[in-house]
Amino acid sequence: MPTASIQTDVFEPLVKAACTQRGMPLQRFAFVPQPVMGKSPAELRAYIDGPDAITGRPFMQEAIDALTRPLSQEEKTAGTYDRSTSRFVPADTEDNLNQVFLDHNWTDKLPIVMPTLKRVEAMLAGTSHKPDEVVGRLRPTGTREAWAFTVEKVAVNAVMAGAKPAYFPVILAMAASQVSARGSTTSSAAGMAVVNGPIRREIGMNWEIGAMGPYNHANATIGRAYGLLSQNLQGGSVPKITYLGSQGNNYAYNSITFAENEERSPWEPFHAQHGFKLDDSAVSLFSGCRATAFQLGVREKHWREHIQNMLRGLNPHTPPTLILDPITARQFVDRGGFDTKEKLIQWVHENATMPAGVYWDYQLIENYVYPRALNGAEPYATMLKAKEDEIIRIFPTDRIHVLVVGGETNGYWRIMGCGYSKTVSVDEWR
Amino acid sequence: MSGSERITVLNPMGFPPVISPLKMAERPENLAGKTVYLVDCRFDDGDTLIAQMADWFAEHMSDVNIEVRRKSGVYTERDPALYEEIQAKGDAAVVAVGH
Repeated sequence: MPTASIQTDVFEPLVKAACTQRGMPLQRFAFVPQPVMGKSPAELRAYIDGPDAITGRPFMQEAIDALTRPLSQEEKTAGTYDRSTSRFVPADTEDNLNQVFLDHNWTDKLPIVMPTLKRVEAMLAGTSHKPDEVVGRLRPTGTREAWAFTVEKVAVNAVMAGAKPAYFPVILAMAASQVSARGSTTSSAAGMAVVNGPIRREIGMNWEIGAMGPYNHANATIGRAYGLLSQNLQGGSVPKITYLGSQGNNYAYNSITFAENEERSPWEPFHAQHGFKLDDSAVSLFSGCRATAFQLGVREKHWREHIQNMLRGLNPHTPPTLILDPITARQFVDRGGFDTKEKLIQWVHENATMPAGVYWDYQLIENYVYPRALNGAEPYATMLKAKEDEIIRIFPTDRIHVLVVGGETNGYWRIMGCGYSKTVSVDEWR
Repeated sequence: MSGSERITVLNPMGFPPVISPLKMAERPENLAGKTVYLVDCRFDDGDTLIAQMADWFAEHMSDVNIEVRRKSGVYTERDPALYEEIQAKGDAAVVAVGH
């Protein structure tokens, strides 16, 4: 079917790359200025009447030409594309190679450890899996192409991050999850990775003071490796092409990687809630990390209202993960009788509420939830039937999570708006 | 490693999938008397842009039969029923707006 694809100008590199990857490098476009969102009908009519935002020719002329201009000889000819990647980078001095890595967008723009064969082989000794074993596929979004990668490729990125071979099973598990830490969204989301089980102690991870910050070698380099392997093994995380986060996200430097404080938590560890035994080692991946609401303690008088305010401060499209210092976790038990994570989750579900009209007017809800509600997906289809001022619960229980981390210097805690993806075995990658 | 020493390092990139080229559809000579579907893919006020485009056709190319449709599902999802309708009844399609 002859088709004209209308896009906004800032996405020109991305849409042309995406169409090439899908086998249509000469797909015809017409471009309007960014943004379309929030513009009035009159303003958008001016886009239609005005010039194409890329070519400068009249926009409607471009759109109609896209539908009627005869195919060129080039458009009629099927092409082949060689995109093979070599195992080695051409030899050069270390200084020059650092520039090559920067120029190719293979780093996080910080200095890296050069992945020489000797270092990569040392990293590979951290697993029993063979170097040429295919671990999985990664992609920057669900609609982009997925690239494959091997154990060796993960090792290359782990070396670059400065990780030790003892950390490699955790890094492999992260890669095997096929959840990218460098997902591309204009909302600038980041990933989060939480490690449970004996591996935490074995490799010296931190779950106490400073666990979510730059204060532990294992936490820091495992998280960094997760980011580097994500960007490089998925085909890139390059602004305008494979990364479109409008503002960027500082969480992405190490993808908020830490170990859960199982020892001081009053509750079941996170991985045990998801099918693993207490003495299994596992890593859980989250995505969409952006919004963070923060609090000190759980006050006796108005704790319910304080937490409701925090929950309403998040965008309702991204569900809450409560990240609690052990002091706060025990306060929740004392204040609300939440002797299990499930009881706390149920309370959050019942008390994260807002009027239906307000909920359905959020842009992200209109983009991502409203179409599903129209197609009958629950609980959204039922929520859609609510009257404008009817109070509805905005987060289903299966999307609310609780983690415990911190060194009990004070009862600070936060709610991170993010989505839980999966928990994967680390033991399988030893 | 000394500064001038040349070293060999491994490439950190993964392996891209094979690209299978698709054939582009032949174009009609013009749109007079043809049916053009204007499809809102459900992203950020694209429906308003589509509406303005439909008005433009009504004012400037009234001999083109315009059918406006809103794709079912989230913008990342396919709508096979709509695509079948366009294949069966349409001569061309405009899809807006990607972002």
